[in-house]
Amino acid sequence: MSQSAPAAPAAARPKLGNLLMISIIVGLVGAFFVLGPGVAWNTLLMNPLINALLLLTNLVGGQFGIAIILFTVLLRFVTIPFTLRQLQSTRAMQEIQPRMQEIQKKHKDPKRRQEETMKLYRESGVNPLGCFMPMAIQMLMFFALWRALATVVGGSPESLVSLSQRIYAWSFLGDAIPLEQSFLWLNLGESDSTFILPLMVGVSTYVQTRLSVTPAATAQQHQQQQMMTWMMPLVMIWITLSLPSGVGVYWVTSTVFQVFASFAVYGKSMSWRTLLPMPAPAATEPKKRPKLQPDVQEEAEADTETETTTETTTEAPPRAREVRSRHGKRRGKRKKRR
Amino acid sequence: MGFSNPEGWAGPAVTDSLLLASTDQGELSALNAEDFSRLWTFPTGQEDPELDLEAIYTTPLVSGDIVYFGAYSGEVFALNLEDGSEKWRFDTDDNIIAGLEALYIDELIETLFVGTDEGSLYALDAETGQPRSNFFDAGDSIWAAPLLSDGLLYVASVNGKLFALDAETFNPVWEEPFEAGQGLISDPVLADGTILVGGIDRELHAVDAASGEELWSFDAGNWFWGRPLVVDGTVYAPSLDDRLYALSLETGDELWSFEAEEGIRSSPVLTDDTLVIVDRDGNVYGLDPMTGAALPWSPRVIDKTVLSNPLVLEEAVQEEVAEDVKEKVFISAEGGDLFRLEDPTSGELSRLDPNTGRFVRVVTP
Repeated sequence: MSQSAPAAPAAARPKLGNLLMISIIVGLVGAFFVLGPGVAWNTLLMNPLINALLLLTNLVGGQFGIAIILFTVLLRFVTIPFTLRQLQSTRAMQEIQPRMQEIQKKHKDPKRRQEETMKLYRESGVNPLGCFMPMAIQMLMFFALWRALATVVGGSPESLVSLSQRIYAWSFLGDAIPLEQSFLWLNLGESDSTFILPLMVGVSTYVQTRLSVTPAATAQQHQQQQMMTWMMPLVMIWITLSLPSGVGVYWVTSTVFQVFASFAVYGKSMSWRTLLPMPAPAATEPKKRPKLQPDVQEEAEADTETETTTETTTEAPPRAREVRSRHGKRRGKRKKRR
Repeated sequence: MGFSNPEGWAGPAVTDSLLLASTDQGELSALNAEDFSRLWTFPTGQEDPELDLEAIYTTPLVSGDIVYFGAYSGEVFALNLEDGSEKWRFDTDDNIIAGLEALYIDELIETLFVGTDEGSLYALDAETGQPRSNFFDAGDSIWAAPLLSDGLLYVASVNGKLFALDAETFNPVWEEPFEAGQGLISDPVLADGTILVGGIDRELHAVDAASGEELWSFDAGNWFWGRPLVVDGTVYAPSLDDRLYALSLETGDELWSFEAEEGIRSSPVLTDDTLVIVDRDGNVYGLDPMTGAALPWSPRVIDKTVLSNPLVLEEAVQEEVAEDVKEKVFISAEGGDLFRLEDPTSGELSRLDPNTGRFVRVVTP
């Protein structure tokens, strides 16, 4: 098996997204070292976010709630390359899951299993960090925005004193102070005692989590994912109950955006069934199937892969199709040998 | 997580025998002025229904045997000084951040004025706590204590307006209120017919008390939230841009400025020949009021957030030959910790140990 060859096209793949991501990370880490963590955090993230929020508040006539929504949408648009990259990586991971399961089953030796897994990643052009890095950047942004919102909505006169230290010397920004904290039924500076917003946060988080999970390779993974699907919404509900509603408004807007982005990427392959609890552990199936007809199963998986690829030609780069066609050839050769 | 609960920045107050201070969040305590033992605390925790004041931003006012203060939770309280028992309370149904102002008749408070976060200004009967039938709507939050002088009440609002009202009727006195670009949040101060008030527009405004016309304004690098101090024609105005500005009251010209390490919300105080300021990080400075030069001991470090106004207290000290009077500065810090600048000339600073009732010297690293 001359599997080293497919690695070449993967390496030749345009890496603009990677470069951008790496530049951002290197820039941030560098700034943290040069300026110090506190100064870098405030100067590069917190203060720009806070001032942007105040600016937007003024631009929308002092409606802070609308400014939060608008800001979230704008931020999500700006970070859309990362979002798409994350979703595409997740989908790619989903696509190679059957073969991952096969590797798990075939190779008991952990070292060999890892080698095969890495080989599979290379062949398929999947970067296991492809899901993680965009998510890490988004989490960083989320945390910064969370802090920024909490600072802006404050909730106390003391927080306004802190806020004064972060506002740029542009008098227009001061017009937003004090912020109009009433929005719909909410006081954006206080937690929502009606439980409507926490509920919205819980539901939107559930939907988002369900859409982003990859099929589990093992029963243990499946169990962890199931727990995650329920734990995340519950944790977010709990957090929302203890934070200013402004943060909840951000979270709902952000997750709704993410759901739409997921639909844009996954397209027809998604259905409302995706939102239901996951089926029986996928890891149990391969145990049975190989006993019957391993090659038939592999072919079926290959078919499924081809179908998915055809549906999303615009999303999947030509390299992906190339890799899959090579898979086809390889199978052909193997059959011949047999 | 950034979302902060109100903690309060009430400054301490003093009577002949008591020191009144918010020594814990949402509580007012009376300490024996001699040995600083705690005599009572309000609320006691035994109230039914439970009483949660959240925080206290108003420095207590003492009149006779009653102490008055407003709580962030919206109530104005009158307590008996002797035991801290409640005499009356008035609920404004809103948050109270602004300090109280009072009309004194024969050295006793007759009427209390309180502004709320929604912009309502109430006049309360000091004896009963009953509000007067009329109240004034400033149109936006009132975060600064009203100022009463010669029957006129000056009220600054977060909508940037400064109103001059008849204290009895609440009828406006000026044709139009003075209007700044943005919210006015510092307690207005009156000196030589000039009202000084600052705010979010980063300007300190000098307004003619008679007409409401602006006489001059001074630009700083950040908000003016601390109450200015006026002494002998010089305005000492603290700003959140880390500086204390000394300005000419007449012209608004800058005489000097001193840069602290952090923004200053606390009002400066003058003791003997030393101007004492505290920045929000708890750095205490002694300055020469003429030049702004820092005394050699500056700064002393409290190492806690300080946003309250310090209190100068004269204390009799037995010297070798005769009794002398020394001025000490009490500073209330975050969490209700009480500090005392024993001698503004030497900068000796001590902290009240609530367990022993003793002030323990603070050593600046």
